[in-house]
Amino acid sequence: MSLPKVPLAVKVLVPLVGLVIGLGGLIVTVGILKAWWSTPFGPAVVKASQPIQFRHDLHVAAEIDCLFCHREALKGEAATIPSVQLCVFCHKVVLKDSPEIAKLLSIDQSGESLNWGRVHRLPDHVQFIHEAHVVFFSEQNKVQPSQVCSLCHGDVGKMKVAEQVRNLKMRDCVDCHRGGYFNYLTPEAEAAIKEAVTSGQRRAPPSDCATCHY
Amino acid sequence: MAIERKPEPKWVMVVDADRCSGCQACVVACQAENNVPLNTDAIFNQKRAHEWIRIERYWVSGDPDKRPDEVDFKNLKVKFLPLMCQQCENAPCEPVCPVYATYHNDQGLNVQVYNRCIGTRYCANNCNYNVRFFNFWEPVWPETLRNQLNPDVTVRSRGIMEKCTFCVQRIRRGDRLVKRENRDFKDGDVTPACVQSCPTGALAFGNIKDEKSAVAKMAHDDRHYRLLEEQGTGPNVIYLKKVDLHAAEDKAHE
Amino acid sequence: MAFTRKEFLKLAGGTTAGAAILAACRPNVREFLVQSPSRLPEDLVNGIDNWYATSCAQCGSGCGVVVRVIEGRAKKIEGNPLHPLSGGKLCVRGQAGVQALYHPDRVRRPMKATGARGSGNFAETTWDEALAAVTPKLNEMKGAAAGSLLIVTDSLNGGLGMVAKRFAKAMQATHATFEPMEESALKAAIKQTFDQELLPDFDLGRSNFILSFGSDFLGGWISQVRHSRGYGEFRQGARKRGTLVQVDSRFSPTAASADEWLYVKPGAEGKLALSMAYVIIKSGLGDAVAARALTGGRGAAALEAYAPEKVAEATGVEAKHIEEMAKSFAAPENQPAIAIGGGAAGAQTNGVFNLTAIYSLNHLVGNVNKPGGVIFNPPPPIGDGTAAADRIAYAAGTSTSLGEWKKIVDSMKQGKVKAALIRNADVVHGLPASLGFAEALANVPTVVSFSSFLDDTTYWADWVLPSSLPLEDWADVPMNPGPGYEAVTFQQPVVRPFRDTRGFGDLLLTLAQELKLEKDLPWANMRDVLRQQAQKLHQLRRGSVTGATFEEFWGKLLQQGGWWDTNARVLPVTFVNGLTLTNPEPEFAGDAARYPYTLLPFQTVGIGDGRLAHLPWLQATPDPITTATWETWVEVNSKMAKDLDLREGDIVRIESPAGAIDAMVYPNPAASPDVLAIPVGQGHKAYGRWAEERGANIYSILDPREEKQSGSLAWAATRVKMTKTGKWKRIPKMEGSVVPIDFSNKVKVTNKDS
Repeated sequence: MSLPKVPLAVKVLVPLVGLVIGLGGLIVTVGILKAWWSTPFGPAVVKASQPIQFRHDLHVAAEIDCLFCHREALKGEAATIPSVQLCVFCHKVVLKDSPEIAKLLSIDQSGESLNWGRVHRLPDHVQFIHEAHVVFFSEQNKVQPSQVCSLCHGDVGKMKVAEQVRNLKMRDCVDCHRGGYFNYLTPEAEAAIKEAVTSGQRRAPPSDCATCHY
Repeated sequence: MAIERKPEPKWVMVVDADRCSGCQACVVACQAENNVPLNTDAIFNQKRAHEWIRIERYWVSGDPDKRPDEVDFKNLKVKFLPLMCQQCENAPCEPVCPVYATYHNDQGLNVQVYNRCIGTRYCANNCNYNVRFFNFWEPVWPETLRNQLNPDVTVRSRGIMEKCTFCVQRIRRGDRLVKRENRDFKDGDVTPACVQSCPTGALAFGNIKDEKSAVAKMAHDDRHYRLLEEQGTGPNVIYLKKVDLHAAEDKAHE
Repeated sequence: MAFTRKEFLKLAGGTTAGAAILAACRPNVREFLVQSPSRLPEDLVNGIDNWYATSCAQCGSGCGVVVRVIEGRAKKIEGNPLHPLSGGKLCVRGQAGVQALYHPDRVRRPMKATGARGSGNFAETTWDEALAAVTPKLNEMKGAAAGSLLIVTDSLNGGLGMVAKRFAKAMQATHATFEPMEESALKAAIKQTFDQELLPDFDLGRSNFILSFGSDFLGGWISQVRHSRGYGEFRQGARKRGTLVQVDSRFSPTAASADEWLYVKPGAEGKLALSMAYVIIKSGLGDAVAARALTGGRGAAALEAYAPEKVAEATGVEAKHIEEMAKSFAAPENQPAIAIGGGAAGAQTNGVFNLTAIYSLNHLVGNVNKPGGVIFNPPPPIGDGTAAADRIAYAAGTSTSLGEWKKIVDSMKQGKVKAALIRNADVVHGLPASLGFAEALANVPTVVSFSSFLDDTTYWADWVLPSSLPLEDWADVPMNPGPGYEAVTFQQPVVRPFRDTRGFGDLLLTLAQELKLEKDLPWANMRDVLRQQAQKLHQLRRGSVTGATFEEFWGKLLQQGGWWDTNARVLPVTFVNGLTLTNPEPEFAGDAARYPYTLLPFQTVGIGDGRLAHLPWLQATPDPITTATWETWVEVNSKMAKDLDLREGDIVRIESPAGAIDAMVYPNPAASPDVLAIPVGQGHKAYGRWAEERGANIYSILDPREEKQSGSLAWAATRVKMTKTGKWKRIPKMEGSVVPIDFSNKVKVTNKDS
């Protein structure tokens, strides 16, 4: 008894369909696993298009302190983006003939607001307080507040276009709060903090959900 | 470093029902502070209005022997009761959440983590006080009204449970304030929106661990009770009973 | 990538998970705009919050507030803790001030009518074009006969009132003010009883016994915040707990909070008060000197006609009850006691009689101008002139009686009015429809509205010149009533105008310059007006704000939100006016046989008299008693509703001699079977998406009947009948949304064990 003859079409189609289903399933499974445990697909950071090609590198090279423009980083939740007036304060004199500065000056003239593209983006339902972080590191390491910014924002002084260097997802925050922050402290500060935390004099960084999620 | 470790505060609200006139100022103050979705008439008709704090109105019979619907219209009274999340010590909503979206924190708050919430609504069903509200739809504000939204507070999306947080964003500000000034909490450091607005002063808020605080003193008032405390939920909202001159007479009859 | 674990879980439940994962990988570019107040929380513009002090203008009481402003946007309004009226507290209406600012249907820029009058068709234009069109029209008015120009505003006082008044005078215009449920009768009664031009402050907080007639002081009457603060103190303050008796025809929020609610037949409040006076005098309680002065020396005999058993029938209160109440009111252990009245008690044809009788009770217990009683308000230290009368006028503003309104409508119908300027006064909605204001307005060749919203009256305008909202504009507010001492709140712009609007005062001053009226209006803008007034305050060198230089003073003044001097009070007075017992009988429109119920319009705590109906928070604010929102309902006694086979939500036709409206039945166990109480404020034809075509307009069916002495509208003097329409609609209400927790049966009065 001979085996029934399998049509060629079936011979090809069945493994093909099987392969597609298998591969599809694999993709979905990997997607599930990746989305669940780590950063989801795609670029972690989306480059924002900006209305004006602002050059962080030039401003840092000119030795302008971060806090000169992002004035509220020591005082509140947001570091804040400066108002157009602040830009114009210098640029009504400095480089006023450059085409990008001309754009700025015309926006200032019109009285409209300048809609910058958002560069750093946190997940939904999260609050981040600049003040607490900047003050902590600058006090502990005994450095100027503006030297702390690069811990999260990278070396902005080398960026032509500002971009997000860390993914700023929850793991990023939590890793640091659970002890990763020692990596950013000077050895003396690290020793002092460890001592204070073990002796109960001060609290370890909070890991309560309601610290950030509200 | 000079910052000493301070004991965690325990936040408690005291509601003096005798002062409450039912004026609803707290309700709108809360909606303005916490980006609560607009309650349209359709939403009221679906019985899905979000009021993190609401004023309950109870008809009370002036005649102890009769029910409110039996007495003459002249013989009726009303009691107003502001009701918000009771931040229970032993909260019925917490153990039923399959994803741990609601839990109790060190400061005595019953916290709702929006990111974790997957919208099973078990917590709302298990809540004794009906103070949890579910976003059945994406909340909608006309474009211009969004200018009013409070940036300190998350805008919740569809499928998420929300409730009174004791204005946790203001508590966080208070945390930073006392840390900056290196001192303990005192009255007035943290004032939730409802408490701040209440014109009759029926609401008070503070750290009950601090014996000098107003709430600690009020907690020992003769009129104090907690809502449904016999069910063992351990609410962190203390009520002071409305004084009823006629109820006192009833007691004399007993 | 905008894809979270949460969304992932949602998608994993779907069948097309793989496809959706790939589809969700594209970010929504719009969300990344920093300035875009988008729907995701992190896109809300965050920054440092600034708090600016200003004055709340949601009602007329002039509470000081502080506004939280982040990156140029007003976020939240709180009471100003320094301010004598608000003391850091704020009512529901004040909270909603920010919503007016960002209302999506705000007028964006000047507009001109393109369709027929009243059609609501407008085309946007520019300020230059609008002013170029309006100014010549006004220029023609300058030489025209007096009264050719009609200016209608809300009850303005302070600098804005001064500018409007001077502008009207220079243009020989008729200046009418309009507020739907104004308290002219109360002002007349205060004048008669206490010889005071300004309303007094009621010191409820230090009182031991409040006897309130019809004044829903916990539901928004005169000054919600001031009275509520006093009430809180009165209940559980440092002193012993006070007793509140509310005499009212409706079970109002105040009646609900009272220890005792006495139902009184509408219009009989005055008789009841006189009956109490009779009992007090007869039993020898209270101030004997005042008693003699009140009765012209005749004592109780003068009030013989008001003996409790004689008025029991007319008032609907048992004689025994009247006697008890009178005796507890005057009992020495309950002093200081205070009697107040207003609302429906003053809105009868005998309103002034009622209120005079009520306020005279204060003379009997001797609490006049004393702590815990009626405290008189001195005129503010500033005014349009320095004489006391000028300063009083600066605070009091003006009010136009119903009789004058009838005359104005007549002259409009006769074509004598050539142009009308209207600001913040929705006369078409608020004046009884039978007066025919809308039709008369059609007869006026040029109508200019200064409203920032297209309300019913603005629909009839040819030009809309939107004026800035109070949070964007300058003003000074000499409060009426004040806190019992000299006080002026200052209102400063806390944000730039959100739309292309200009301040009303600034507009009038601009027009004045164009019309060459500099002699009468020498200022360039409202800020100059206020600075001039502030100069006067600075020169006093006393009060809450002082400064070495004027600029220092001005800075502190704006920072604190106003100026007040707690020592500048009215000296004790001994004036007691004899009681006038004229006109005691209320008259009602519609005979009792055909129209069996008295219509009792009332203001809810939210939208009030209707001027705040455009704000969704206030529309959604539950009425404290019924918990109903968003609609026009009629409170029908529960038992009567059962007898008439009316269920909740049944739509009934309410018909008065002047017209008819539809309303939904709310069976209320505490409503009197003689009275139908209906909230006012709905039934706008226009006024933005949240107000238009919603509910019914009660004002339209009021009979234009005057209070006999003050000439104001007697809005509680219309009788109605009610017929079933057979239609039904669900009442949007809070009650029943969740299962109530009935605590009252479970908890004892005291609980010392735990």
